[in-house]
Amino acid sequence: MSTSDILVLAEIQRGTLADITSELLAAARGLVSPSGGEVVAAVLAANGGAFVPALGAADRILLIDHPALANYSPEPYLAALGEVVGARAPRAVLIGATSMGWDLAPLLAARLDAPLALGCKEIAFEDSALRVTSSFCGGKMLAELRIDRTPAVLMVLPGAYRPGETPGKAQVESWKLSASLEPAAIRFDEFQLPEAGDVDITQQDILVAVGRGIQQKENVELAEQLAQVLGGAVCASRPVVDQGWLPPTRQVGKSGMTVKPKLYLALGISGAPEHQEGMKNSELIIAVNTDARAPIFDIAHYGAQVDALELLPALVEAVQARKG
Amino acid sequence: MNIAVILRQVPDLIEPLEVDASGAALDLSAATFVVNETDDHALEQALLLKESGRGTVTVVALDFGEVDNTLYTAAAKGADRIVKVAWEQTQAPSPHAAAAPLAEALRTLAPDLVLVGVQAHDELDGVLAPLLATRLGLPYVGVIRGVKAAADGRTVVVCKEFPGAVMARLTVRLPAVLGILGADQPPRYVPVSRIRAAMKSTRFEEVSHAAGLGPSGIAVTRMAPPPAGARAEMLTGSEAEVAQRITELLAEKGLLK
Amino acid sequence: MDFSRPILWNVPHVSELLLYLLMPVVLAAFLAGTVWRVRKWFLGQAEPGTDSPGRQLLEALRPRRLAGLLKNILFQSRLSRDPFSIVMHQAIFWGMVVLFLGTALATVDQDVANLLFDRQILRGQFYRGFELVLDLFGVVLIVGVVMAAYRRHIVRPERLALPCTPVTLWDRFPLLGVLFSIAVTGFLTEGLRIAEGLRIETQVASGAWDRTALRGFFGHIGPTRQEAELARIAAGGPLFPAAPWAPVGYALGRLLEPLPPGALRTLHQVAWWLHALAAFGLIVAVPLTKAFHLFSSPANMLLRHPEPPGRLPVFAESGVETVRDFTWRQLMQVEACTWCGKCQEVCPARSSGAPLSPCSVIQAVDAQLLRTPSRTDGDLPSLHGSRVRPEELWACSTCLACDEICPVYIEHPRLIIDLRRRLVDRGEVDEGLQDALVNLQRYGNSFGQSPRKRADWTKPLDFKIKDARKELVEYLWFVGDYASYDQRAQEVTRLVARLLHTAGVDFGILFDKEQNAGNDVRRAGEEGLFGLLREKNLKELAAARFQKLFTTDPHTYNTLKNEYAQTDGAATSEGAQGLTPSGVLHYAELFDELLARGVLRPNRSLDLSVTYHDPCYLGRYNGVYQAPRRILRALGVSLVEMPRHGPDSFCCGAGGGRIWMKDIPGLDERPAESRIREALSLGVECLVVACPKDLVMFQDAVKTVGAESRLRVADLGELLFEAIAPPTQPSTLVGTSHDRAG
Repeated sequence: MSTSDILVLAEIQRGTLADITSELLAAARGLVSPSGGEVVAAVLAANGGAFVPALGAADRILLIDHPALANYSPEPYLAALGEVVGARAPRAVLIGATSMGWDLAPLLAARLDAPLALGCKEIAFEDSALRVTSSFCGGKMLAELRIDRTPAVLMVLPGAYRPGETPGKAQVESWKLSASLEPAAIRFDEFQLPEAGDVDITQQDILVAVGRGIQQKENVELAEQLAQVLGGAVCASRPVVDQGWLPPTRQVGKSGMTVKPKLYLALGISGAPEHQEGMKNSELIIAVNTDARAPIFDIAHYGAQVDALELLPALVEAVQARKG
Repeated sequence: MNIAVILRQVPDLIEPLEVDASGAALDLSAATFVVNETDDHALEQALLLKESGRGTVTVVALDFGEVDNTLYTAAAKGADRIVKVAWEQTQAPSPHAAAAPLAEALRTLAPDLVLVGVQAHDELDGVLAPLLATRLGLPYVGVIRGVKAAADGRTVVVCKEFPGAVMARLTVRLPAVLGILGADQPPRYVPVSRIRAAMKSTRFEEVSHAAGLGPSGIAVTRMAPPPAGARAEMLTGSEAEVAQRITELLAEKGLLK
Repeated sequence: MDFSRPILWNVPHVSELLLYLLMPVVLAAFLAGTVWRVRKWFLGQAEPGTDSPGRQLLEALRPRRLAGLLKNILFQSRLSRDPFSIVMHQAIFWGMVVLFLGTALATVDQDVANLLFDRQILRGQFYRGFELVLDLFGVVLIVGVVMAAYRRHIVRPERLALPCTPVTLWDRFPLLGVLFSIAVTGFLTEGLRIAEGLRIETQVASGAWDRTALRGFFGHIGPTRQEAELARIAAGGPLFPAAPWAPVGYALGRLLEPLPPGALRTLHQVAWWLHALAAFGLIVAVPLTKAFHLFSSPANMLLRHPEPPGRLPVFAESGVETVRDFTWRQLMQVEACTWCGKCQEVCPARSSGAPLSPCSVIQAVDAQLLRTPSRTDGDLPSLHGSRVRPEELWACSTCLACDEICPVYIEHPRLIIDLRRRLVDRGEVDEGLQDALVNLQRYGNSFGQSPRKRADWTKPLDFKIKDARKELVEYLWFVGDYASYDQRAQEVTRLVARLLHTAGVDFGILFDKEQNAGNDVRRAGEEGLFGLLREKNLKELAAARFQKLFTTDPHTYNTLKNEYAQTDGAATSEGAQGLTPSGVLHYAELFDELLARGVLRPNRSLDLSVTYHDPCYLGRYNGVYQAPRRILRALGVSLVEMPRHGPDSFCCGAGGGRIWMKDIPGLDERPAESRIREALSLGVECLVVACPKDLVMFQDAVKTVGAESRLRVADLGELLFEAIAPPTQPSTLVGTSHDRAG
């Protein structure tokens, strides 16, 4: 018997609750409101109690505590999650399309023989079926899906939902695992952190972002000038970091940082979905790219089809003049 | 160490994608196909592992798209065996449909390590790598950048990539399936002359296995490119004029302090 | 008065014997050394092509080739840009030639004429003339050597630095010193002999002379002649009647006369021996040092590659790993190197701070060659890594400046490309190049853009361009990658289209069936990919119908003209008959022709001061220098030449696949920037280019240098358009002062 509860996997990253969790809770809230049912947050950790205050948007908070869950590794997490889903039979399980999610969502779906939808941007109920809008083919195609079977496992794109305002009932429940989480073939050893950068781009109000369109390492200098004049910092898309023109701590995107500045000035960035994931919630996005069809223009508020390299010095001049 | 690599064909996104007459599926008749990028990285990782120790690399692929070109390239790069699995249908193999024949082929090979790209951009309702792992009853972890074999040949150490360039180091006991995001180095270049030589000297092992799993439980009702509607307000003019406009915008929003 | 050249004057029999014993030894050593070196050339492979080596040799001995060689030797025409070098080298060359011939004549005179027939060739007035000539050329030799020494030791140009790795047995062999010694000891020997003669004359005049001793000095000629000589001397005549005809010797003689007789004779014998040893030393040293270029250089000049440089001979598809993988001609070339270093001086990569020195590459290969036993089947050490580093090879833009300036016709780019091919075979290419090659293989263009968009540049035009696949056209326009896909170059492409359309020229393109012609792919070392592209293009060209073919891109031009239009069975159908070397034109040639025929008529004269940059693949590779200049003259611009123009043109740095590769770290200044500065120094308003890559490179460089407002970079087609189009029609010029308003 399936319920109309929606289960959300609360994602914990090195001791903090990842932003995706609140986005998933908002998505879940949108689903349960019309149909009734609860928003259930599943917290897999060694000691999940610490995260309860941050999960106010959930109706029920399942604390699944076990020492084997202290650090993420697929097998114990899959076993625990599978047990919960098997027992609680939610209508859908929402998992973020994150590094952890890319393992758990498909593994869970395969284990339960449940339908799996990737790249979810919008989820709604249509009668008893789930209606999902998914993005695939590098963001160049949208598919509308209908899922009748239950439970459905949905991988939600980060940034597809904004964290909601609605508080939930926030009832805490401790889950007693019956599954054995050990032994496992895959063992977590340690985290390897990048070298400390000079600037934390996630804390900046103004970001000047450079992409392949700046063509050469030397031109990063131009962007630095603009950032300085604006009182912000320079960040980059993946290709620029791969080339070594800026360190990984400046990378914005799926495998980099997620930023939400007041101003995100994207110069010569095409705006592939992986990059968009990292900056789409910026308050004001201005994109500059010589290709009018660049996907960045889909999420930018303002755009210009000019050469970023030509624009930079002109912009520095104009801003300096304006600031007096 | 025997390593198996799955190579998939995906539609090349350089051409605009078309939707077929039904409105709910891709029209691949005019599409060109290329090897899936992360699968290419998986092949590179496999070759690196082979070069750093002993072992063989077997490439397994479904006969679809421009797979022959991909397979000859793989052979030229150093793959030892190429197994081409028959695919009779005209539609592109979806993860669910592909999983069964590929899993059978892998079962026959019984490799120590299976490397698959962590995703393919045409995946909508399934992810191949974990599907294969589940079918084969093997442990799986994905989003891997970098695999090193341990001296005993029974475990590998992998780096799982997290945001902010954070890596988690994991030790995996073999046999296992890994979802590769990137290898320790970018895919190597192999010159056309070697590919042509491979065309003459390579023999594919052609096998045929039973068709796919049951339906994925997902019905695609409509497919279309994202609407062009919600796009940015474009600023026109020369670079100087645009610069002026942007400055005014920023001033209006109180961002020039 | 009958007199002849003194034979072995004051040379004791022991010395004479020793000399005659040494001579065959020296000769044997010389021959052995020469054979040792020449054998190594044949470690190499046969030249590609159907001609057998014997055939190729015969080809080389044709009158025209021999005449060419003679001209080079007589006039040193390969050094024409360096008058100092010509004079210096001629002086040394002719000095040695004449002295050598003189010595040979003297030997024949001594060991044949005198010994067998008791007569001498070198006698009387003839002998006097002989003395004069020899003394003169002795001086010439010294002048040459001093000039050379001045340049080498006082001016010390960087190019004359010694190789950084030992090449020959004795790299520091003091060739100049030895030549100088030969000349000086020669003069000393002569001077000392003449001094003795003068002393004896004084003795005779004062009545005290020793007839027996004197007879001893004439011991090598027959008694009758001895008597004649003695009689003359007794009568107060000169001992050496020819002495005053040897100005230097005579002057020395007068100077040294006061020395005591014993000293004179001893010194004379010492000088005689030193002279002999210096000469013998030189002969033995020739095959063991860089002096071997005396033989290897003319050999290379004679046997050099007969085909145009634009046609790259490719022997091994997988490139060169060891010296054995080169052809015998290439090995001969590295041996022909005179270590002059001019190639290094003109190399644009080198001058911008890149780690490439063409002569270092040549010397590195030579060094390895000389250490390779010529009779071996075993494994040879690789040239890569230890002798030649990848950075050096990849820094080359194949501009041909080194090849062009080399006095002895060494083909440096061919060598470098052969080595590159091995790196490509191993997959050792940088990211940028790999991306470009992968894109070229998959999409037929280096931009990674859809081949279906190749002709999108035509869309903004208000007329349709013919499809040469569907209808016959007079001119097939092979557009090329950059002209098709690069936004800035596209502007020029459109202008050219409009120009031709306005002039009513019948032309068409291949639309999306055209692929990169592959010139730079081949030069980057991906021979297989070049073959693939060529195959595809030839197939399309065979299906198209045209009479002539033109392109705006010199690289495309080069390969279509020299490497496509060959008889290989592919170009058999009607359409591809247009594909003959003479049927391929660069648009400068086309416009030149159209202007001459009046098809294109400038409406006005452009009031502009310009300078013109000769593209490497148009100028040096294919000799097209005048056509663009005629066009500029027809446009009425005032043309000022840059110092490095014509065959001395300075490459923009994009060729050989460099435009695809990552920037070389730590450069002082990119070649394009250096070229912009050169143009700026002339004070002209505009730099004219005739290549889309030049356009892009120089526009970028003008910005980097900060000279956008001072120098306009314009394509030839743009200027032509300006002169022909009605004044009201804007030409949407690229990177001009027009769009810098505000």
